[in-house]
Amino acid sequence: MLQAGREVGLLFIVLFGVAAYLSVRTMQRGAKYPLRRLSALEAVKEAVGRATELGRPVFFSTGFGDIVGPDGMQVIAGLDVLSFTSKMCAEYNARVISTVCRENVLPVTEEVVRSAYRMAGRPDAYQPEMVQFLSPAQMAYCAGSIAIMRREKVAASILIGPFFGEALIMAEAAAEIGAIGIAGTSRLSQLPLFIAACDYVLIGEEMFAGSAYLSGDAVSLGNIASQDLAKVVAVVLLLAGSLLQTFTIGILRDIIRLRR
Amino acid sequence: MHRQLPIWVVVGVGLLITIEHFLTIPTLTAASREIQTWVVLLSAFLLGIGMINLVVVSVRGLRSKKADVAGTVVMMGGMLGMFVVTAFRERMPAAYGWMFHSVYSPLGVAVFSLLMYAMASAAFRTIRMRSRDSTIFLIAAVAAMLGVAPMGAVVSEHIPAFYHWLLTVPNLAGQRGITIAAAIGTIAASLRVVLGLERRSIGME
Repeated sequence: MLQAGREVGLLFIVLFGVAAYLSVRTMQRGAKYPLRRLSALEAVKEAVGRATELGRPVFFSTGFGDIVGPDGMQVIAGLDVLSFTSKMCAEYNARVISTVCRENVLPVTEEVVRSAYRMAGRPDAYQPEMVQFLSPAQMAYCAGSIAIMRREKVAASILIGPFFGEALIMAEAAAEIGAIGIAGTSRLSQLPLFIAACDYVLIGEEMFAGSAYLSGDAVSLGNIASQDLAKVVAVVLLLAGSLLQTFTIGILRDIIRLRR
Repeated sequence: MHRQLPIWVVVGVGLLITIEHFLTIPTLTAASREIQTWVVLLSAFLLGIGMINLVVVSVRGLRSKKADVAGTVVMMGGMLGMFVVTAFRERMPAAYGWMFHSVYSPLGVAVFSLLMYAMASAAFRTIRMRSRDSTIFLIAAVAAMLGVAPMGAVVSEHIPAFYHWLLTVPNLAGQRGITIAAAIGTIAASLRVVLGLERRSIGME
């Protein structure tokens, strides 16, 4: 019945689910969970404020990754931040321009921005230009995004999601026109490039905390609390594994060895 | 009700795919494979939606006189031309080959070549910042360059060894830390989606 080699994974998912459920319930009862300051997410507010003052738009992209597939959660994490950014833009009467390269991401992005304007009480302010599908080809998308950034003289560029070869070109284009650069990705190959080119960067798991950090709702906070608990378990397993392996005791390695 | 429907679809499909990953149930496996093939169909349909979005935004841009007329004409012509040539590529293979190999590919490569300039520019800005982080960046960059180039070993035999240590110890440790934490973050976010708790990213508060 159980797929061979996936027992430990299933156990981890079940335990994680239980921990998440209990954490969410605890947060819903009014418990507090301190979150460390994430300057990149704080900068989103600063970016929208700056865009309002200058009368220029905020540029947003979730990158070349697709919502369908292994990068999907990174896209969703980016859309969480887009929702917050769009709502703030609607409240402050600033424009947001989000470019999309994957057809599967387009309807979700449109709905996120439209809903944000609706939640801000300004559904009529939503314009089709706010979400633009450019091309499913990576470099055509990159060139189109750069053209929009330059033409609109964007005040801020927020690049959060699974980025590939287009990451540095887009981040650098934003820096050249003096836009505030905020970026985030879990893709290791692009992280150093973002760190070099952008003002603020969300590193790896930080991008998944965006929802909790910006909205502060109980579900997201509970999720972060369970995530932290899982990290503690991971560190304990790492230390125990290292120690046991040093003395050539392979019991832990044999138990948690993940097979495909 | 219609606002709740997407959530129930996500929960149903998410649970089915997750359970199928861990358990061997032939019916679930068949259903999971079937659903995953629907993605191709949905993507094809959504590509059409994407083209409509592009046309709508371009036409609105022309009407409001914000868009560049020549650029818009080239873009629309290119999109329609490529669409027609690709749709009938068996009837016009020469045109398809020319559009793909002589127009599309060189243009893509030309944009990609900007990466070299972007890399140099970003590195220069980072080094110029004169902060603690930029100093570490500079040391690592110089060590990497000397470690790879033959000149490094000529200057000192310790340089390639230092580069190797930099790559396999602090760099790898950092990468693994980020990978493990990101994987946990991905699982947490996936659970939120599968259990129907993630609503903001599908346009619901």
